[in-house]
Amino acid sequence: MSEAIRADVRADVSAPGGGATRGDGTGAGSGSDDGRPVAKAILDAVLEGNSVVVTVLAIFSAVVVGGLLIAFTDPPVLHAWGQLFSNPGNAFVQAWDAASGAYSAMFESAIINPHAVAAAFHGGSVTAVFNPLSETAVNATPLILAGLSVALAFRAGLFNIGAAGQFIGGAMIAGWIGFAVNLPVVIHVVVAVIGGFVGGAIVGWFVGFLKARTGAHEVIVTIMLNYVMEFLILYLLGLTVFRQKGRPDPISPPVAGNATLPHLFGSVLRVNAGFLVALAAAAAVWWLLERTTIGFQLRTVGSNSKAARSAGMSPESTWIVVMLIAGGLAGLAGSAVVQGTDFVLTPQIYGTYGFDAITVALLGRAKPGGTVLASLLFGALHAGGIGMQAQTQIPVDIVTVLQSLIVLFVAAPPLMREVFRLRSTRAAGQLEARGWSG
Amino acid sequence: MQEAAAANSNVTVKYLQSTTQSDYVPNINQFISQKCGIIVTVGFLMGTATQNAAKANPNQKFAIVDYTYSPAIKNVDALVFDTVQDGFLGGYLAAGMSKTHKVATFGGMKLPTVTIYMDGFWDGVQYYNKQHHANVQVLGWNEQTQNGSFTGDFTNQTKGETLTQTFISEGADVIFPVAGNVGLGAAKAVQTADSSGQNVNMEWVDTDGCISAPQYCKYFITSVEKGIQSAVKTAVLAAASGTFKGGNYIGTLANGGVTLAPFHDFQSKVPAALQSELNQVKQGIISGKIPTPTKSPV
Amino acid sequence: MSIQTAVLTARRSITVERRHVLAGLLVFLGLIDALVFGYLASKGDAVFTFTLTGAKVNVPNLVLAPGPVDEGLGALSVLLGIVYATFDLARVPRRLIAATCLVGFVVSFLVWSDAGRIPLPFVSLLATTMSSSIPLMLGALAGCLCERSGVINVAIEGQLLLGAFGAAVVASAFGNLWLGLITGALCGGLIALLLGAFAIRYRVDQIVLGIVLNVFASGLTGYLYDAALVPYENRLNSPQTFNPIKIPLLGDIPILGPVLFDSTVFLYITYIVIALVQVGLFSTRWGLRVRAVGEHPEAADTVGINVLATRWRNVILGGLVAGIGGAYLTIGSVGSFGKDMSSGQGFIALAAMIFGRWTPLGAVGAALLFGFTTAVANVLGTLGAPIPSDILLMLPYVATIVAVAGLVGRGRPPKADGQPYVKA
Repeated sequence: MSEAIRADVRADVSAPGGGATRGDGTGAGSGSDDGRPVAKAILDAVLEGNSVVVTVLAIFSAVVVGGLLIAFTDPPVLHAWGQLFSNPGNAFVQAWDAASGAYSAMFESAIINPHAVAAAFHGGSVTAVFNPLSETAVNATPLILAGLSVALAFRAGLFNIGAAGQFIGGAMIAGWIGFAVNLPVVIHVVVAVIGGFVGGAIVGWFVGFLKARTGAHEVIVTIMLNYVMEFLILYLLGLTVFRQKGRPDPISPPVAGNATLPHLFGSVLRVNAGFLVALAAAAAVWWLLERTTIGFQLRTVGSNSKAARSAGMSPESTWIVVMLIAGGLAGLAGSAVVQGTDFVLTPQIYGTYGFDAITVALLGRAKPGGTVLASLLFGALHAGGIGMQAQTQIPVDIVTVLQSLIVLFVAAPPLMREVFRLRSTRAAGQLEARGWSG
Repeated sequence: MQEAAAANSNVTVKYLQSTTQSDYVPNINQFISQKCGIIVTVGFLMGTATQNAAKANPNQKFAIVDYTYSPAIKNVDALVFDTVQDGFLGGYLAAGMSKTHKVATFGGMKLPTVTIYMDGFWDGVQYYNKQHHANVQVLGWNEQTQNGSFTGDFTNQTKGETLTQTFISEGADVIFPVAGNVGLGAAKAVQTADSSGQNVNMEWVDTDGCISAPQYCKYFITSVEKGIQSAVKTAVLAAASGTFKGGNYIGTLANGGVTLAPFHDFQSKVPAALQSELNQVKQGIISGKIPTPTKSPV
Repeated sequence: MSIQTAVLTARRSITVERRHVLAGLLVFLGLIDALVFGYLASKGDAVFTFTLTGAKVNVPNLVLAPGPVDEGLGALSVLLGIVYATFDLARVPRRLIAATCLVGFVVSFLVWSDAGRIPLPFVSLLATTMSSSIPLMLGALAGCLCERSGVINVAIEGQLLLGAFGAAVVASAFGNLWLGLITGALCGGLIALLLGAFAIRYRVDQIVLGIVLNVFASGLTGYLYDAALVPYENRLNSPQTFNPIKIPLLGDIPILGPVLFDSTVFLYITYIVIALVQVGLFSTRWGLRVRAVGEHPEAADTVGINVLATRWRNVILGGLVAGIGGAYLTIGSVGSFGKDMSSGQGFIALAAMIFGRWTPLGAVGAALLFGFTTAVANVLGTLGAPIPSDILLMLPYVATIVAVAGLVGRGRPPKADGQPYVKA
């Protein structure tokens, strides 16, 4: 048994309330609790590389590597490199321009655009100032929900690759309630969101059930179910019940106005109540994990299922419950998309949320708060990528490269410490490694 | 679109790729805020997003490929292509060229823009059978049951290859893949069969295969073309020169929006009689004497 | 000790409840054979052909009448199911019975689908099974190599994709297929290098690490495809492809020849890799050491095995193998590279390895099962079988779930799989 897992068990047993041994990921390693002056604590935190510092350094490193990739593949820059000897300065100027242009376009589309701010002062639209932030939140919403799904399963020692399939299950039921059923205001949207949870939960429950009853590995079942659900939605959209009248395309009718998640700040900004659902879900998952008996069982099963069994817990029933809730969370992500941004069911509705969910869950160290922050970062990168592509014509895949590099670097604090010559210290909130739960 | 830029040096092209559906709206908004002359969107998935953007920005010109609106929208040039018509010609030609009396078609995914080709291909073969009292079979699609062979995506080229190998082993000698790049897998299978001494050929789809996949040109009897490029080019140039008029445009054999590509290497191999029959069929379709039914109408 | 445990686990007879459930499944399959496929088949016989055009030996076609065949097979399944439930059989007869019923089910399904339609080309069905399973088999073997030494490899998808990319670009740029093949392998090795660095050196969680590496490979190849391969398609993305090589004599054996001995060099490489991995892991000193490291690194370390070096070696080897599988996708099959062309096959390979209980032969078997169901679904689509195409496309995935849940059950990964090793 590895050191990390043993530490985890100890934390659960010795510090049931505070979890002080391992902290919440941000506090660990800072060592500010032994009466040293605050300034020194901060300095130590930076030098030792606590998890906040590591995350910042990881993002910085990923940005540098991504910038190099842009600088060495952008056609005008390549052309300038070709003339390196005749005009050496130009190559570096071009490379810098390409990379910095890409990143400033990303920043303007994800956080705040100075031009929009300036325009607002001269009588332009005020909402335009907040549009980038709104887009970031919109992109983060399904990621938070699907990420929580992966994170929760992970804490119970289960590996949920099936967020995409559960997402489709949720989107299908939420969408169907949205366009096929007539219900009054408020009730309709609530029922559809619950339907989304149920749709995902059914798919998730099936995985947990198979694992508990037959031992079928959840990794196999979730991968296979993703494909099954992708073809199932394609099949259903081929039926007249799921189609718009008089159109041959596999698109459902739009969800009724009553069933759409209301916009939070006027009709222009796309940020909607789905974002609040996601935040509430994160709070609920935190409460479930940290404050309930189920949560305690879940974490115990996750860190050592044998020990859990000898303590009188049933890993099997825990698996079923966990997968049910995890599936439901991914289903909520489907409902957030179909009721919040897309409004129709299509064969491609699942996008890339399934795997993005795994990466944000890792980046957030399988903790609810961390998952929210990681989703916001990925949402910002995604929103920024759109702007970058539009303004600089650099392929949007660079954002995928950036995302994966950030996660890689964040996941390996020792690497960041080596690169930036920080003092070595005890593990700063690194996600403990584990094997197949088998 | 690049052609439009080449034809009019004032036209510059910017292009955005969406990774998820939720990107459509912001992608369109990006271009609106950049004050593009015309925004071209592609595919039925973008239909609603384009419609909403067009209504919110009545002065912005749009074009959308493979989607129409009823009623038409004034500032959207909706470009669709009645590919059942040239698919019909492709089917007729395939039936005429088949020695084994078996021809095959398959799709990437069961989407209307795909099955409309397959419907046309099927119709064309049936019409050939009726005219010649022949019995050429179509593998991989049946218009009546709307069921057939699909690879399941537009990326897995190996699947296109194995599917085509299966068709060939079942005796088909003209293959018509309607699956984008997955068709390259079909071409590879045809090449392999050819090098082992079997006489198998194929028809390319959407573009002239001898231009888009020249390495396989000698296996392409023809290509069942869909004039997206020239239609988009017309729309873009119209927007640039101020003659843009929205509404729905349907590419047909009559207006040249859909067509069979030149025979290239097969110019001498397609019998003259068959070529003239094809011309007659084409005229028949244009005049409406020969019906081209489809369950995925544009 | 742990090996003994494994043997004991395998010999243990199954519980009465599980036996009854499985027997019920067999009876159920038999009833479907007889009642659904037997009665609902359209008029006309099902014809299976066994000869490809150009074969030297002509094997006669098999003509089956759906009614009697399906009902007979159904009755057999029901009978065997009852036997299964009544007696507490040993492992071998248990497996034989299950296999017979499953084969019977597949045959009666095929007979029902083909009845009254064009002949079903059986040899081609098996041949496409083999060729489309190549990346799955190599990917699953790559997984075995890594995981037997205690490093989880979820990055197979990324290794396939980067391997496909590298092979296409180099084969195209230098006009040399073998150079492309080597580059493909090295590209798989490159992802393995990252996997090793982060998993072994920096002790990152390996499952999630694998996922991230897949995303990285997808992003990187997607970006380079748009930035370099599209503008310079002729120079960088138009490779030649390997042609099939028919092995003399063996290639002319009826049925087996075209399936096993008339393919590109990739299939023959796959045979060699299967043999090397299987023999290497289970019959050599090297394999013993690898498994010791994967099961009990502390003990291995005490007897002087270098745990980290062993893991590094296996991770890199695995990457090279998966890279070859990736190269197949381009220069072994269609030639040019397309975005995300691995289309999830790395994940199927991963599932096949788990399905095969972390053994090379089991993993290959599972990969072939998947390839076979895919080929069956393909053939049924071409014949115009009365099943909606989207449902047919689900078939391989559903079959895998059924097989894993119904037949395989709980597998046991190497004990230290996924646990980073820290020298005490």
